[in-house]
Amino acid sequence: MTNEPHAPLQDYPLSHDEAELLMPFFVNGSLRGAELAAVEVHIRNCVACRRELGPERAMVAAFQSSDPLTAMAAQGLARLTARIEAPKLLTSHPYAPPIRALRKRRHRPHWERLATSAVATFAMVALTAVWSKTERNVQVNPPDGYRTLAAREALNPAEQNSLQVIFRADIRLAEVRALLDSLAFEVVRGPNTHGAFDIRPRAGGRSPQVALAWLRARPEVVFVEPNRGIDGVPP
Amino acid sequence: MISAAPLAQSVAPAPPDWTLIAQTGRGDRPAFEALYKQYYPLLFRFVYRMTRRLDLVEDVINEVMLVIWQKAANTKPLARASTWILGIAHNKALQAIRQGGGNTEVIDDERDQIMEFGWSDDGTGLNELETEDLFLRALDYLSPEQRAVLEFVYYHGLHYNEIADLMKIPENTVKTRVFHARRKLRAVWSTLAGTTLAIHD
Repeated sequence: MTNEPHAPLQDYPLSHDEAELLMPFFVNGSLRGAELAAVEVHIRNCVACRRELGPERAMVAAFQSSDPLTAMAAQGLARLTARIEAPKLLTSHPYAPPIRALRKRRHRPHWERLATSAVATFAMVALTAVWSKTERNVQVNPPDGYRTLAAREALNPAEQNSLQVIFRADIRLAEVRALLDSLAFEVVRGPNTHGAFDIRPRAGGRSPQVALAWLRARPEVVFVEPNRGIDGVPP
Repeated sequence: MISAAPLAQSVAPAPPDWTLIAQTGRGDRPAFEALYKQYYPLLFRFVYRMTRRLDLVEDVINEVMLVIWQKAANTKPLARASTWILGIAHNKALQAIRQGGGNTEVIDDERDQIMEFGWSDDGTGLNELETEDLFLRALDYLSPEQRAVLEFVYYHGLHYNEIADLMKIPENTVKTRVFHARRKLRAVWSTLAGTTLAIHD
């Protein structure tokens, strides 16, 4: 701060509010003459304005040092680094499948795609049916003989405790029989248009709960769910 | 043997800006190209600072330079050339923001509540903020006009009467706009940084 004589203050009276408004222009060096002198005198006598000098100079430094091009380059590099690192993160995750397995999935055989499609269709139909019944509370009256995969009404006694199962498309009939025999299950009907069979335990067969858990673990089974609520297992 | 180019040629001082503008006014293409290259970095910085839209920058710069090409012959060198050019850039940037559906409303008074901002801009929270330039992030909370006026003051070092001239607003409006804009910027910046700015006597 200079001690040189200034223009008489009475020629340029400066309130604190006015000095505060001029502070940015004092700090950026654009004030001249009597205006500059008045601000200098005010700052010398005003603790609040002296304290403002620090943040104001920090503001000047921030604007002078920040360069949009540099910032954009840093952001671009961060995005590129994220792209480079993404595959590493995927493979290094403890539960992430190996890349080879991911690639293999892209070349699934035709039957597997069909089976997946069937399951997806089933799920969509099931969700639609549940939503219609529970959320909208609308009475659905399907045509006679029509029944969705998830339909829970009008099952005949033979379907009690039955399971609906979709086998892998390339499975042979002998393998299906072997699976069912190991559970002492039999086919009630099927396959329907989605390739689903209804199966149920024969006399002395495994319980539906046990069969359900066992079939879900089998690689030959694409889909298995209770046909209607079985004991302890909601449909 | 290859002889070195004359030293004097490589260190010849560039013509003053108003000279280049006058030559441009006479249809001098090389002078216009020199002006374009000389002002491109300054215009890039200002337009991007104001719009925060990279996709707008080149179009706005070319609009500015087109105005200079068209008006150079009839412009009197009354102020700094950079002030005249920044004034054109300010108008063109505002037009571009408006055409793009952006809001250019100017809020200078107490309605511009400084603490009514939150973290919901992108939901990424502190981790992303920590890795970014907090100052640039804080600028995003200001309006284009607020960013422009602070850029004029703190980067270009303009006096309030120069800013009033190029923004076509009263001098007192410039002072109050700067006051509210810097107060908001400091509040946001401090909060983003999780601390208050250092205060020195």
